[in-house]
Amino acid sequence: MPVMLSCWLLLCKVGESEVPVSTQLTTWAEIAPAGSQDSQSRPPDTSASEADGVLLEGWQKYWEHLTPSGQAPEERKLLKNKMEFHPPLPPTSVKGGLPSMTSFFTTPVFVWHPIGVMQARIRCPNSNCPAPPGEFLEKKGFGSYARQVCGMTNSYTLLTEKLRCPYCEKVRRVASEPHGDTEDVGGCREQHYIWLAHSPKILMNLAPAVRSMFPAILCGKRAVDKGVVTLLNDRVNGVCMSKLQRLLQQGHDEKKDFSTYARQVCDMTNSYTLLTEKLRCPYCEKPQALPMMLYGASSTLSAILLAPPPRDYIQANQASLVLVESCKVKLINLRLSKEVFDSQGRDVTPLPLVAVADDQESKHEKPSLEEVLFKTGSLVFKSSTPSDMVSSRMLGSSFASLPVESGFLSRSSITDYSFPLHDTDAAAAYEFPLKPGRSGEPVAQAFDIILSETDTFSLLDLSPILISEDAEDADAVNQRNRVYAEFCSGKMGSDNYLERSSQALVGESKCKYTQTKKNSSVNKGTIATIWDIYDSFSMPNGYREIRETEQVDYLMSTRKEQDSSEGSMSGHSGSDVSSETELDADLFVVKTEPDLEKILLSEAFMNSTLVMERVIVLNIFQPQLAAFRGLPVLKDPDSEVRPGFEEHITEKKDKYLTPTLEPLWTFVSPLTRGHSITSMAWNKKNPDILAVGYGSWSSGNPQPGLICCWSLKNLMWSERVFPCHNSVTCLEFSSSNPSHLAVGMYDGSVAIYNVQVGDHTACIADSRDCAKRHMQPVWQVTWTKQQLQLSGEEREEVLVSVTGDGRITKWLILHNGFNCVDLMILKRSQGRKQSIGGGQSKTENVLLPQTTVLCIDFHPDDTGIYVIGTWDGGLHKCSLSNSDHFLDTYCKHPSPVTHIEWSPLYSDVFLSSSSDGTIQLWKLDTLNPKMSFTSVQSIVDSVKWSPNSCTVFAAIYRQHVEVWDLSRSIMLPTVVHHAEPGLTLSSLLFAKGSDSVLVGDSRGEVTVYKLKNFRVGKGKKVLNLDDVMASVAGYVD
Amino acid sequence: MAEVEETLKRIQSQKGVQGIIIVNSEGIPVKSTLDNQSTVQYSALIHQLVMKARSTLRDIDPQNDLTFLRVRSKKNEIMIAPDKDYFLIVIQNPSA
Repeated sequence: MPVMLSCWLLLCKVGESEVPVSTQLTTWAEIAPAGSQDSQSRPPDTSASEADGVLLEGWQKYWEHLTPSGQAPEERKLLKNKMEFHPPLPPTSVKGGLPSMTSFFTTPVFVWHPIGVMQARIRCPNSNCPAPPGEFLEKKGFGSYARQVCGMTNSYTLLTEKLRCPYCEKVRRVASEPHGDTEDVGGCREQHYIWLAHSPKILMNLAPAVRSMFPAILCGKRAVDKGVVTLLNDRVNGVCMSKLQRLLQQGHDEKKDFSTYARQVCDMTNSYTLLTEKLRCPYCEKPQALPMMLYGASSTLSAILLAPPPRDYIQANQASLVLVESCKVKLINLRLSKEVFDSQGRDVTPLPLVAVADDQESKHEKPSLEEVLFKTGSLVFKSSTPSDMVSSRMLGSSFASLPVESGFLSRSSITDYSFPLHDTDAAAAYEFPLKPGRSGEPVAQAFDIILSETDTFSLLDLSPILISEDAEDADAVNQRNRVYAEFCSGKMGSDNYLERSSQALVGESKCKYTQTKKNSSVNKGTIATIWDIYDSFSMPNGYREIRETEQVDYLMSTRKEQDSSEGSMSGHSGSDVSSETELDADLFVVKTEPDLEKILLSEAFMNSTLVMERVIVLNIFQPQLAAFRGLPVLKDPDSEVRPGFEEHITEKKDKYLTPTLEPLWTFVSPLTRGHSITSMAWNKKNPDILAVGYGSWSSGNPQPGLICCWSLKNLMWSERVFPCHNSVTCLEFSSSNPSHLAVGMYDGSVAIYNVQVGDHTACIADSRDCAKRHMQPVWQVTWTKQQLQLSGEEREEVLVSVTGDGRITKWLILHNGFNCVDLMILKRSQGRKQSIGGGQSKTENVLLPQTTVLCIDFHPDDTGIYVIGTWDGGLHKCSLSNSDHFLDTYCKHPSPVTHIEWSPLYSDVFLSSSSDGTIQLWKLDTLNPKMSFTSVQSIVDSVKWSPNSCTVFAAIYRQHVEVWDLSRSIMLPTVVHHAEPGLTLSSLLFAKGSDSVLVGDSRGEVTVYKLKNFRVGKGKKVLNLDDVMASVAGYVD
Repeated sequence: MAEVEETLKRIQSQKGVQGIIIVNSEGIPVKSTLDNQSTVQYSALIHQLVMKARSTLRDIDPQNDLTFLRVRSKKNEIMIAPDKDYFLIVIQNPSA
């Protein structure tokens, strides 16, 4: 705690008498010995109080002395009911002689009256006090000790009243009486029942509000004002030095002109008065105001006060800490002569400032230091104690660290003041002998006053930027400091000047946290199948892109679909069931309308429906079809009705029964109703396709006909329906172009249809545009392979038609259309004659009318040979190479030959049927029939060989069907099947690869019959027919 | 269009045909003669079945493709004509 405090110069005397005068105020009495310095400076009415030693000049009106006898100074009574007393202002001008110095050396007084003024009720601090609860301490005069308190601007004197506890006093007095002691022990006894009001015990008993009125902090020897402590607290707590300095400077540094003679100079702790002396130069008429030295002293003081010049260190610009080390200031070095004489030789030595100066006796004494200092009152700084100056200089040091306890304050340092008086005559110091120099002799008896300070303690080392004077750049720094000082001094006077310090903040790092959403991960997977890879690589690029976009659309649409379904679900939760279904249905329709349209219009869908229909029909007709194919019928093992078992029994039974025709199914459709079936033909390539020609003759006139292509795979609906402009009379499939279907019609037109096409473009050729077209009904069309060249390598199938006008015509599809070439034109007479007799004249033949050719069949092996059947019953063997003449003529039928068919299994044998009711079996080289079959007298419409057995054929009559098995019987048909009454059977066809017969009737129905129990020997077909023929040969022949 | 409708009508009128469903490529029924619930059930399940069957076939031979699928069961037969854009499903009980 480097507190530098100087002791008071004036020691407190503790006298042995009852009137101890030890305060500063009382020192005046000491300084001025009683009696010696009297009437001038002392009030005359205070002679009685001289013994008290208290000189309260100017305060007498506040005080009253109750006891002029002077027995008890504590009997002084305060007249005014207040605690602070300010002295009258010192005179601002001095006229005449030196005024009494006491008028300048005044300080305020604070009299502590906790009871007298504050009316505080203070209990006795003694713990064993016998006072009743309602009793308090009472005041008992004033304390004789006056304490100097170091205040903010002034030192002031602290007086206090004494307090006494009467009860404790009684106790003490009773206790001490038996001893009969003198009053010597009274002081000791007082300690227990009389207190000073500012003693800590009393203060601690006070209420806080009252206690706060007490202005000072008392220590053992020193007292400091609370304001100082607060201020210095501020200093320690961060108030910069410059603030403190400015604060002080504002109060102290008033630069007025020096014309006034007495100036109040405010010091840190005291105000002091600056007086100056008028000096008059005898050589100059006008006296000068002040010698320069005095000004210098004044300014030096100020400089010391404000900014002590550092000697050994250069203070950096910003450093606010003042370091003063061993600042020994030679304050005054006055060379003053003892006597001043004017030009006339008169002694103009000014009178001494103080009255002491007039005291001649003291001239010869060595004045005490105090005397010197106080008598030379013009040296104003002496009026206050040097310690004041020293302490005021200690701005760098601090009272803030002053502890309240006296123990620290007692560590005051020794004031090192030295006023070495070089002249033994101390009077020279204050007599100011300004005598004009007698013949240039220096009148100066100079003495130096050196104020020295103790060493400076560093309170706080802020490590100012200080450099040594010896440093290299010291000059530069000095220069800069100088510039700065000039700058500052220029600024300091202006109103805008504000000194402010700030601390640069260190940028702090700041942590910031941000919350983000959790990273969501999505798993995606796809499966690449082999075919997917294949598709992707095989399809063309453009299509691939389309497909990718389609996939994207697909995803989008599914998502939409899901959304809508979710929405509908939530919407439906509250509604009833019926509305839900309605809503769903609406949604369904709206969403899928374009989809459905697109699907239904696509060709693939048509195909699918076709296939589906076939499949369904096949499911339904599975047993029938199996029977048709000759396959064992698989019964549904799960079906409850077990017809298989029954049938099995019946089948076994039937084994020994007669063969019958069992109907399997019927090809019929609403379109064909009302039409009569005229012809049927199997496709050569695909044996499952059946072409059926329909015609209708209402009232004898042919009506538009119909061609239907049935498939065994769809028994319910014909695959192709070709409407024709006239009744169809015959049709036949081509074998080289399996899809070509030749059609002959009643009006003589011949057409070729391509059954692969289902629409109107199927008709690829029509003879209606041909000039040489038939004018009579076409009774049969057939295909034959034409030998274009002799080599026979290139054969093309051609269409041959036979008509009612007797022409056998070959049709060709040429580049200019459908054209025909007549193979032969039959003449009735020719045929007749030829049939009758043989060769006739050619002219007759030409002129004869044409006959009707009803049927034709080409030899299955030798395509150049064909047989025709005519209206008049003749059968003619013809050759393609000879268009003029028949090769042979078979004459047996008396009536029109309705059908001729070569046996498909046995060459050179053919059957002919006639309207005479007979069926003839012919051999190629025999002009007479080998056999003849007759069952009933009815028109045989057609006769067909079985494609499976060479001995089996079938014939159709108007009302019934006969199936002949020559191996069984040549006399009677094996099976006779009668049609329903009123129904006319019109067409017959064997099924290839099946023991089935197709019969067309006049209702437009084609019924498929199974030949049941119809067993023929297999493997010996040809032989059988030979045997049969051989067996009957003799009979017939 | 009319022809297709007619064909569908014929199919529906065939013996034992219980229903026809047309399903688009996404498995969503676009036309049905069955009730709503059955339609949804059939189309969803059969869509999966057909996809699996087609995938199987094409895995065996990528150039091959499924053209028809018949599922014969005790009670009925489900016939599926699959295509790129649609499935035609017919449920038939032949023995009915």
